[in-house]
Amino acid sequence: MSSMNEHIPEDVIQRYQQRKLAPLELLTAEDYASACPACRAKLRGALSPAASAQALRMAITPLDAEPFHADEEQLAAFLDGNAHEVDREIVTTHLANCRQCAANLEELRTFRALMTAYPAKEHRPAPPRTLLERLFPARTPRSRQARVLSFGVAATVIVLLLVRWSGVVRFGGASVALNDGGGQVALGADGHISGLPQLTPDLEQTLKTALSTGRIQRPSVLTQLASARTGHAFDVEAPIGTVVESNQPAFTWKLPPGAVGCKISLAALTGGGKSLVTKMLTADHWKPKKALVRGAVYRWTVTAFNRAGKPVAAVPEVGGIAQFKVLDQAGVGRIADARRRFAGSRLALGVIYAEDGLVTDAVQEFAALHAANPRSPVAKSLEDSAQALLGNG
Amino acid sequence: MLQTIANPASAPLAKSQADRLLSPLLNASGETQIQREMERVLAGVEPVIIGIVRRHWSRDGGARGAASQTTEDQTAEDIRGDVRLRLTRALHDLHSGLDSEPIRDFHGFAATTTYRVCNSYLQRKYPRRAGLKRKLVYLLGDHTGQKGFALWNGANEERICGFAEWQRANRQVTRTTRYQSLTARTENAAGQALAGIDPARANPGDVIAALFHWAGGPLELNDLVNVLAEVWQIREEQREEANDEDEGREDTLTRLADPSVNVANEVEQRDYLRGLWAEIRQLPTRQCAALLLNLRDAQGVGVIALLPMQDIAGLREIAAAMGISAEKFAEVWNGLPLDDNAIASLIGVTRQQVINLRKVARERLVRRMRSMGGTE
Repeated sequence: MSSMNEHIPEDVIQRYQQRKLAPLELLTAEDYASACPACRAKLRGALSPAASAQALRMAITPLDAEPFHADEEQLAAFLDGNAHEVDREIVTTHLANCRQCAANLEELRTFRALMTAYPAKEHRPAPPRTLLERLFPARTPRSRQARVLSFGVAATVIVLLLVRWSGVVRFGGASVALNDGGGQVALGADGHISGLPQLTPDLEQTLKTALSTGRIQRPSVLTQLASARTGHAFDVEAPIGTVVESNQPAFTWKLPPGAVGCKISLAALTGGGKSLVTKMLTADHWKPKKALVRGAVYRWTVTAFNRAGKPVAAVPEVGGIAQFKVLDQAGVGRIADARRRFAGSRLALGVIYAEDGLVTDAVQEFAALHAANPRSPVAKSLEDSAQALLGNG
Repeated sequence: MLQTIANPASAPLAKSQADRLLSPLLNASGETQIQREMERVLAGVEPVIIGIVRRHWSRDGGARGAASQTTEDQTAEDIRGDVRLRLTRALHDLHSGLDSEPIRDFHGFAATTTYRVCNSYLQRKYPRRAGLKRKLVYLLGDHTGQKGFALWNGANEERICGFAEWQRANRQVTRTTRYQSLTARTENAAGQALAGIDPARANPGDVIAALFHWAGGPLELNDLVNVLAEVWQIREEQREEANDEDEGREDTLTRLADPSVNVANEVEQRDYLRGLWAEIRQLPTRQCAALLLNLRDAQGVGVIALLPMQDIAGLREIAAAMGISAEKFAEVWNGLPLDDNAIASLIGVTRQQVINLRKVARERLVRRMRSMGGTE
């Protein structure tokens, strides 16, 4: 086998088929075979294409193959963007092939958004003893002066801790300063905002108002989307009274006892969208397969059915309204631009989302801002103000 | 190009490191003796399986009345049967050398397998409860603004949850009177635990914290799911098959279309193989490696050689598709199919990731190849 004009010796072919060739011999034989049809025929043997196809098919899909499904932790890590690179590849590939896991992920995404409506909180076991007892565990009798001194020391510790934890830190004459986007955003006594470059005059004014009043202005679009929920066990949940960024938003609701399924009616009010009624759904969430029209306002209802296929209830009830608007194309551009310019700034993004009526997103940003500034009354007020917009239209 | 990274954690272990319970099986020969030893091993873990299934399945049925109880008993038996089947398969692979990974603790392995099967049934039979569990794992796992909770594994591989401080103190589940009340008389006990709280409107973090406070110690995750399903009135209704086009589960492991059925001649068989190879090449390199390096028939014989034998792809092409050098591939060629530890070491991932990469690669191939077989 010294040159390509020669054929592969019989003993090499035999050892190839017995899988006994050394790595270099193997590659050399392969190279010969690829250049010489006669050698290739000898090397490859005589197994029929049909038998080969059958064997490969059986090997790729063995009868006892158990399917993969993303577990709770894998979905959570994937959703938060914390999954290991390999696991991310695994889940991404799987989601493209498994509607169940894709639906589970969407359900979790909705849950994550809903959880932003609650203030961030650190939960702990009930303390077995009071703070003073923990600071001064010795329970030996002490003099009144010693007890007063202990109380003074404890009070000082508490004050120092509160100052340490406070998100409102006065610096450089600023009247309000918040930890945001890895730095600090401040509204100075002179009315200047520092820490956020590239502000347009309009946005700067909106931010000044937000920081000085602790309130988010209600955008006019939310008045157009005024909605009402019953708060009962059977109710629509989302989207309601808000603008949604996705043109395939996730709809969620709760079914009443006795209902086994429901149908969603989606009526296009303005903007040229089409109305539709889904087939019977047995889950408590749904996502339209076809994109809704950007800029259109939709109203939706849920009709619940019992096992006999009879409608048993509908929400919102008479007089109630659940409506939302799909963010228009210009808004999509604005939001994308804002995310580029203010990546990481919860304050700027929260204000911009709120201006466009993306209430859920705004709440999420202000909740994160509050979490970064747990003792700031301004951050808390901004979160409360954003939450007041949520779902009330 | 993937690097060869040594992975000590997944390196093959000697048989001596396997669970002693398995030693007689690993040394057994002859069909009768192997069968007898397998039955002995399975009998040894039967109480583990029964205990877990009873805790996680029968209790649900207990609250549903006699008729429902019968169904639940049947489901519990189905689960136990499924677990036994999986364990038998694992033991068979272990004995025959198809799986070189020794099982160091077969009781733990059986427990993990049982939990997995229970979860799989939970998803299928109680999808709302499974959804609640996913949300709880998300919340307890420090993914939301509700901090201070934790999830960890108990002594018997069960998932337990509670305050993070309890986890740091390595607290285990203690079935106190209150704990038993929560699981046996949930409505009453939860009413006491949540006095003054409207669970429908309160922060879910506060509801969970109140339950932990009242219980005074960690809970099994499945018990917390059951309690909260009651508290939040999450009811499983008789599910009909979803018929909305957006709903329903894809049966991704539908077998590849059989080319012998609708492909009549040799040319078309070769076309089928070329199409199959074209799809394999489209796989990400790690998935391709996880699939091809382990490709084998039911008897464990490697079948990757069929690709060069049918002139579909040469060694160098196959190596390139897997993201490894031809030289490295030639080194392992004679030892194909590789076990998962060896593949993990070769492509620098964990053994479990190799298994998952192969599964999703199969799913994708099945989906892509359906059109070739004319089933869609």
